[in-house]
Amino acid sequence: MNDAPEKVVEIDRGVAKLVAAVLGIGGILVGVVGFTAVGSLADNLVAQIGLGVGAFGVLAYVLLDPPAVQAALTGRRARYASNSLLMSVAFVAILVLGFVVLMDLEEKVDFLTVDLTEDQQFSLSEQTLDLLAELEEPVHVIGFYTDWQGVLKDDAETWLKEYQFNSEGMLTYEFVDPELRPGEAAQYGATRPGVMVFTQGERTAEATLADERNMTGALIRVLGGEPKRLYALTGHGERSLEEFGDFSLQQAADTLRRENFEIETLNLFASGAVPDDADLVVIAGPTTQFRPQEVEALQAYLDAGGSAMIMMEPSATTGIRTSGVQDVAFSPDGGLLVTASADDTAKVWDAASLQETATLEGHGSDVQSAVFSPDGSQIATAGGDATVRLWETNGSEVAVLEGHQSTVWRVAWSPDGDRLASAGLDQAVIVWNAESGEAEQVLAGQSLVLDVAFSPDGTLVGAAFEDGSVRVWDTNGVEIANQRPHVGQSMAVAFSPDGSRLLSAAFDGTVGVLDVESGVATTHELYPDLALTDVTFAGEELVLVAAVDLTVRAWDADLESEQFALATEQTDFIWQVSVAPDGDTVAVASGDGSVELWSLAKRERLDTLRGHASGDPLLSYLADSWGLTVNDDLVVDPGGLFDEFTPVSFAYDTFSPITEPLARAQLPTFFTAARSIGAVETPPENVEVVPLVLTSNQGWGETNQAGVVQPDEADNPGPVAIVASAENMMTGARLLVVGDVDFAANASLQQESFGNLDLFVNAANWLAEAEELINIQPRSSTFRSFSPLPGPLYVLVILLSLCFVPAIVLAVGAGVWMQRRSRH
Amino acid sequence: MNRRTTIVLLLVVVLLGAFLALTRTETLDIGGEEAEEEETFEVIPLFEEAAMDVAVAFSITDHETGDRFAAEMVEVGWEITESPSEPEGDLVIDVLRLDAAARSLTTLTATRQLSEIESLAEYGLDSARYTLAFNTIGGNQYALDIGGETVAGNSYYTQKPGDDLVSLVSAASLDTFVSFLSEPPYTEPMPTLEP
Repeated sequence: MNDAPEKVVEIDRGVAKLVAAVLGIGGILVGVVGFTAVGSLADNLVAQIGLGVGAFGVLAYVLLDPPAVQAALTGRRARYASNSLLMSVAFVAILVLGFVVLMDLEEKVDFLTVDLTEDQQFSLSEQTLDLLAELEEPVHVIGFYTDWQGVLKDDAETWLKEYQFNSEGMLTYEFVDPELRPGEAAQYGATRPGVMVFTQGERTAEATLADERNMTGALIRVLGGEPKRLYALTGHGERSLEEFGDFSLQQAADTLRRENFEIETLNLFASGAVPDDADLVVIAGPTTQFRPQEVEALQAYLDAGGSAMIMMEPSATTGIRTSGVQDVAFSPDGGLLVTASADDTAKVWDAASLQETATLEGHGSDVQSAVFSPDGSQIATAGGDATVRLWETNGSEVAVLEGHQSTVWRVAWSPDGDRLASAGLDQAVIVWNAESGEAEQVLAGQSLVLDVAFSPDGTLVGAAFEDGSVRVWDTNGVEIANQRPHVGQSMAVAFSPDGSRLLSAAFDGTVGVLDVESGVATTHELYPDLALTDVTFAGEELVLVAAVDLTVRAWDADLESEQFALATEQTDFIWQVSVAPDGDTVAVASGDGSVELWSLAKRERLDTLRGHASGDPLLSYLADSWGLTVNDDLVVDPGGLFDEFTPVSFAYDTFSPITEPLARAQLPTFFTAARSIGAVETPPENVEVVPLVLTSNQGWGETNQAGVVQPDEADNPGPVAIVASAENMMTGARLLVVGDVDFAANASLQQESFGNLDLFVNAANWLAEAEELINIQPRSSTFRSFSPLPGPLYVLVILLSLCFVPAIVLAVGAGVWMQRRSRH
Repeated sequence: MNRRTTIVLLLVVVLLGAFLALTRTETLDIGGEEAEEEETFEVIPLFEEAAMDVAVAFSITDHETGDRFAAEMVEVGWEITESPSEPEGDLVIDVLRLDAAARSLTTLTATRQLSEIESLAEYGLDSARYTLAFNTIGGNQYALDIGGETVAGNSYYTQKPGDDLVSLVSAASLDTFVSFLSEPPYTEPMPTLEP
C-alpha cells in the first residue's frame, strides 16, 4: 500500500477569481450577443451556453471572494454607483414609458401631429377642411384592403384619421377585407381591392388612391349628388380635355371629374344647340372662328341662364388667320378680284368698280383662300371645312375636293391649269388633278402648312411650314429641298418669276431665299422687330412683304434695300398681298375685313373694298352682349416668369369667389403668351363685369404683335386684365373669359407652386354654381430622392462621424480620467 | 440620491407603467378579436399528400349547365372520356395540354385560406359552380369545389369537400380546367413524314 500523501494542487485564489470574472463577463457577453442576433433564447444554443457560463462565472466569483463583493455592493462607491444607476434607469424608463404613453394617447386623440414637411404633405388642404367642417350628415368610409395590402392600408388609415379628426366625428371609417367579405365589396361597388368607398345615405363614391386629391374628390362626389355636366366644344381646333400631352387640358379635366363633373365633347355646328342638361360649356383655345349659327346657339344657351368658360389664344401665337379677309387674288385679265373671308364666304368683285358680282357660299366655315384658274374661268377656294372647292366665276359650285383632315389654309393653281395644290392644318400638301378632282400626291409635312405655291413652269411645289421650314417637291412628290431658314413661323412662300428662287416670309421678321437648284437657303433679317405675314413678287424688280405694323414694304429683288413702304389704314393683320397683272395695282387683304387697292408706281391708295363681315362672330357677341372685349394683343409684363411674355399675377379681385382663395393664399398664377381682356365703356344692362386677374402695373397689351415690344399709344395700357368674369343679373347666366388657354394646360399644371389649377377649377365651380367647392386644391407631395455622395465625400463623412467625433469624446474622457488620477 | 427623489421617480415609473399596462390590455383585447380574423398569406399546398403522386384521371363538372369534361391516362397517352362537345374534322386529342394540366393538379396551391366562414354563399360555395376531381396513380381520389371569383378577379374561392377552410386559388391555375368545358383540348394532327 502506498502511504504517500496525496499531492494537493493549490490554485491561487487570485487566478481563480480572474478566471471566474472572465468566464462571467465573457459568458454574459456571448449570451447577450447570441440573443440579440437571433432574437430569442429558444433553440439558441450559443446564447443559452453563454448565459449559463456567465452565470457560473459570476457565482464562482461571489463564492471565491464574498467580502469583496459585499464591499462592492455596500461601499461608498457602490452607493454612488447604484444611485447613478437608479437615476439613469428611472430616467430612461420615464422617457420610454412617456413616449409609449404619448403614442397611445396620440392614437386616441390626434393632438400631437405636427406636419413639418415643406409642402405640408400630411396636412389637409383648406378645401378638405372646409368640407369636413361643413358636414351636415355623417359620412362613412369603408376601406377595402386585403391582408396583403398592409402598406396601402396603413397609408389610407393615416389619411382617414386626419379626415375623422377634422370632421369632429361626422366622418367615420372601417376597413373590410374584400377577399374575406366579397359580398360587402359588391354591395358598395368596390371595383377592386385597395379602394375606399365613401358613403352617405344611399350615395357612394370611390377613391381609388389613398391621397388627399382622390379622397376629397370622393367626398365631394358623395356630398354633391347629381354630377355637373360640362360640354367641351370641338370643331375649331380646341385643346383636348382627354388626350395626354403638354398642351392638352387633361389634368385640369381630371380634377373636375374628381369634383363631380361629367365631361363630354360637343360639336355645336353639328348639334345646332347646347343640350339642356349642360351646366357649363368650355371653349378651350379655338384656332378658327365660330360660325354665326354656332354663336347663335351659344347665345341661346346663355340667354337661358347657362354658363360658359371661353379661353382664347392671341392670334400671334398661332399665326393662324381668324378674321376678316384672309386672301385676295386678281383674275388673269385683271378684271375681277376674288376675296376669301372668315364670314364663310368668298366674293367676286369687279376690279374697277369694286362692285360685288358673285358670292361663293358652300364651305359653311371660314374661307381661307381663293384663287383664279390661269384661264380665269374658274375659282378655287379652301376653308375650315377641310375641303377645296371649285366654282364658276358666277358663283356656281363645280366640284368639292375632299382629302384633307382639317382646315385648308391655302390653295394654288398650276400655271398650266392642270393641277391644284393645297396646304392644310393636317400638315399635308395635296396635289390635285384639277380636271378629275383626284388627289395625285399627298406630301406629308412636319408641321402646319401655312402656304403653298407652284413654280412658274409648274414643275415644282413650294410650301411654308409653321416650324419655320420651307420645302420643295416636284409634282411627282420627290422632295427637292427641305430647309429651315426661319426661327418663327414661315407664313408665306413665292417663287421668283424665273423660278430660280423660292422666297419665304416669316414671323421672326426674316425673308428666306431658297436657291432651287442647289437647295441652299439663306436668311435675310429684314426687320428684327417686325413680324412678316406675306411675301410676293411685283414683276422681276420688286419684292413686296407685308408687315404687322400694317405696312406693305417694297424691296429690291436681291433684298438689299427697302425701296418704299405703303402704310395702310387697316386695323388688323395684313393676311395677303396680291399684284394685278398690270404689275402696278396691289390688293392688300386685312383681318379687319377690308381690302385696300394701291398703285405701286404712284405709291398711293386707290380705293378700299369693304363688303365682308369683319371680326370674329364670337368676339362680337362677347362685346355686344357681355361688354367684354377680347383684345387682339399680346400681354407683356417685365416681371414675367421666364420672359416678358409669360406674365405672373398676384393681382386678384378679392371679392370674387373665384379669385378670393388665391388672393388669401397669395398663390400666383402665370399665363403663357396671353391676350388681354377689356370691357366696353358702357356694359350691357344687367351685366356685371369683373376683371379677376390683372398684370402688374408695368404690364401692357402689345398690339404690335411680334413687333417692337414697348408700350406706345396704340397699345392697351397696363395693368391689363387676363381673366374676367361677367354675370347677367337678370338671367343668372355666367361667363368667364381668359386670354390664354395654356394656363390650364398639362405643362403649366406641373408648376404646383402656382394657382393655375385652382383658378381653372374655381372658375368651373363658380360657373356651375357649385361655389361651396371653391377653394385651394390639395397639392401632391414633392418627390424627394436620396443621391449617394460622391466617393471621397462619402469617405470623409464616414470618417468624421464614425472616427473623428468618437475619438474626440474618448480623448476628452481620457484627459479627465488622467487629471483626476493625478490629483489622488 | 435623495430618498424622496428616488421615491418620486419610482412612483412616476410605476404610474406610467400602470397606465400603459391598462391601455395595452384594452388594445390587446381588441387586437385579439382582429387577430382571429387575420388570415395567413402564403403559398399553401392544397393536396399536400398528393405532391409526390401522379394524376392519371381528372374531371371537371359545371353544376350550372351540367357539362362535364373527363380525361384519363391510358397506355398510349391521354384519352378524353367525356366532353361537352365533339371535335370537328380531323382534330386529335391535345395530349400536351392534358399532360400539363394533369401535372399541375397534384401541386395546386392556395394563396390564402379563410377559416372564419360566416356563410359559404358569400363565396359562391354553398352550391359550387364547378367541381374539379382527380385520381392519382397511388389510387387516391381528390376533389375541389370551385366557387366565385374574388373582387380582384385573380382568384377563385375553393373548398375541399368536408373541409372547413375556404382556399383562394389562382384563377390562372383553374381556368385551364374550366376552359376544357368550352374548348376541349383538341388540336390539329402532327404532320407525318411520307416515305
